[in-house]
Amino acid sequence: MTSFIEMKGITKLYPGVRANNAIDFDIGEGEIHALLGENGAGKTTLMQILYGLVAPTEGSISVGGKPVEFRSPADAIAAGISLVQQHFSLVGVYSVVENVLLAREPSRYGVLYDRPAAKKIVQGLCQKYNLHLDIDSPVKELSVGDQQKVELLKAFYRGAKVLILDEPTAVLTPQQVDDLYVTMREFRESGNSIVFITHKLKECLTVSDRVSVLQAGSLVQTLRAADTDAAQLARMMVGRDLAEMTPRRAKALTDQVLLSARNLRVNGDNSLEAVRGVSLELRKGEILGVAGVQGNGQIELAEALAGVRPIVAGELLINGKRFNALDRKGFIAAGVGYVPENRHRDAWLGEASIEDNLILGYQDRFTRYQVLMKDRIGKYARRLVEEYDIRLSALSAPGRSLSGGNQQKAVMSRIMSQSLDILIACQPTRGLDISATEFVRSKLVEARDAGMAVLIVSYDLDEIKEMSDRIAVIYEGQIVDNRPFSEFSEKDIGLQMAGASRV
Amino acid sequence: MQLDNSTLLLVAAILGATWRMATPIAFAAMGAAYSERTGVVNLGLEGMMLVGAMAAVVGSDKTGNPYIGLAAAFISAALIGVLFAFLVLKLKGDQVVVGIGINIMALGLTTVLLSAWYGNRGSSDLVTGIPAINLLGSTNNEAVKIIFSQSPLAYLLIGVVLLSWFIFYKSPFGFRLRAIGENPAAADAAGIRIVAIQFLCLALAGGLAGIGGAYLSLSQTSQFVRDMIGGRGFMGLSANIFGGWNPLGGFGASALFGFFMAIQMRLAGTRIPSQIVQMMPYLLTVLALIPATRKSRAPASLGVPYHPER
Repeated sequence: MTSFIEMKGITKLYPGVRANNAIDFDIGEGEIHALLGENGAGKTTLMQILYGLVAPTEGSISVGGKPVEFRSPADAIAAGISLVQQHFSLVGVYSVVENVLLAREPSRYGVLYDRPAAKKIVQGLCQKYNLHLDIDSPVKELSVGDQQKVELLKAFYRGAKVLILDEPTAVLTPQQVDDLYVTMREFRESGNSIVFITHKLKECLTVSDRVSVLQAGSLVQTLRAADTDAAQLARMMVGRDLAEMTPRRAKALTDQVLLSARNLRVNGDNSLEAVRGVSLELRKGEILGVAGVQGNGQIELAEALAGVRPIVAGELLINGKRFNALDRKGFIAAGVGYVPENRHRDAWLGEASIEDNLILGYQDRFTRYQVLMKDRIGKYARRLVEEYDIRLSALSAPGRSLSGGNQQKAVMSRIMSQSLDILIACQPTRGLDISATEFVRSKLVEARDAGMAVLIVSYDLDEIKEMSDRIAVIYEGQIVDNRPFSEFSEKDIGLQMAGASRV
Repeated sequence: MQLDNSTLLLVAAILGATWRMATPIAFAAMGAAYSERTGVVNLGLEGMMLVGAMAAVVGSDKTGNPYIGLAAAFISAALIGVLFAFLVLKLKGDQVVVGIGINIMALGLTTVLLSAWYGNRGSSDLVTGIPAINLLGSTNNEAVKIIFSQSPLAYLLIGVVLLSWFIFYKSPFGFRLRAIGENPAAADAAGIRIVAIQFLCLALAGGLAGIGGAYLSLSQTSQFVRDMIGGRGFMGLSANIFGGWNPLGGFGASALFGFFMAIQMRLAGTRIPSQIVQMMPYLLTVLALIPATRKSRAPASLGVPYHPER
């Protein structure tokens, strides 16, 4: 196998961080090369450098043996490289056709956008790669899976020889993942290459030819997928042996319902109905996992259950008491803890001190005569920092000085350390690396064992399966199934997440 | 018939005045459209108009040719546009703060130059202006003559509006331009040279505002008067918004502003209190445009700075 692209000695320095450290990376012709690593290992940075989005501090790139310097994505695209970013680069109000052809539009006389020709091109691409899409609808109205197809079409249209996929499976159902693999393999068969960024071991062993593991900005090793296994890769990723993660189910399910929702209807940000008549019960000492593809109303449901989104219709009972108002304070008093999906945006104040952030929402519990008790807060904050291993410079430093992962841990610590009956957690391990993920999961299990009722919303089916005592599958704003974990098979959940009727 | 004819002439006079009033506002609105469609809020248009107004007068004064003054207006205001772009895109200044700064700078600069060159802090000498012409000169219809007795710049405006509309919605370049305002990261990743296009659009926005300023100083007064723009740059910004960031809409909203201003001039001197009369164009415009803004949607990334890391 000859290398098509070679990256040599790539280093990228950000203030205070060495995101990439002298990395050598090459992409062969006709291979799928997995780039594996924890969050913050430098995978995305390395690929953004290859795509010309980020300039490297040091290092060189060559394509087909010739040294190149990519000053912008336009240069990379010209060299046959395309990147599908984790957060899609789509213009929401533009149609599929317009997005695919953006920056390379067919035109008449060079000045008139040629719509019929544009449509024909995209239809042809869809046929060639067997992708089914409504090509005239604005991409913001498409499902996440379909939006990803638009990204793939963009790359194909540009004649990409190397396709970089940044965590492409994170937003897909298992069936969609299988479809993606088919498309990836087809692309490879025609002599093209794919760089497949992931932190999921199983995936990279399934589909790739070679695997490169990054850890803390440095390349650990590049090896053939056939010559390695999950345990070895995990060890390389984390830099140490990792205890096998074993599911820890509740010893026995109870009948004591702490939260019960009947026929809840909740609107999304766009005022369209996102939750369409959901009934569920959350019992003491259980973890209920809400499985579903992103955007099926699970976040809106969680927000309504936590009192941060108004309930349009239906009934919500917490400890038998009716809650219908948008009354976060009442929910807190009733012992409902809430971990929002986007902690950085919705649960963290960049300008307030870390100490203040650690009591945010619970500040009333630290006052006497309406005055904050600084000593108690400091003591409490130090306890949390130690218990959750939050890395910080000083408690008085501003919240934004914490790294993303540490902000996550701080938010979790704040909420989990209060006496709660009910915890609503959206994507509790989002953005955390393996070690921190394991820590947060063990905290959730601990809370459950102490009698808390926990509801987890996650797009990661593996997480749902590992954590849940019961699973509720949500599709288009409705719970399509809700049973104890033991009664599900993986195929059931996947099909139901994709909208297949009750199995 | 006599009464009918005078009514007709009155209507014609109002329409003609509407066009005259709308022209500088609409030039600013076009400039605003080019800025905001590429995601940049440009509060500096007012100042760019002011610089254009002065450059036009100085250019005409030095050469005796008002069209050289017009070119000077376009170029100097475009340079202010480039300065704005440099501060906002390269030095990462806050768009709102830099825009207001440009306005303050323009006012100070023109006032200083006014007293330096003309020894007068209030107004310049009279210069050769750009007089109105009658495009339909052969007609005998009085009403038509009244309406179409306009500065060449007012006719130029119509061309600019139509061309801008074509560029925005019919040309590949317009697709890229609007993509930047919607999602600069996506446009960047698609290989569009976003910073280059933004610079170009901001320079063009400045130039168009400069022509709007030149219209005021060359076609309406034939001299430069301190702070003579009087908020038309800001009215252009609102016209652009009311017009849904579409050149045709921006022109329509400017025309509506102009119409109410023309009516206001007619009503001045009647028994209606002058305060009410002066308030009317603004009040009526706002009321008239409330339904229009309901369905219009700003570019998704308007005012959100995007700075690639390279």
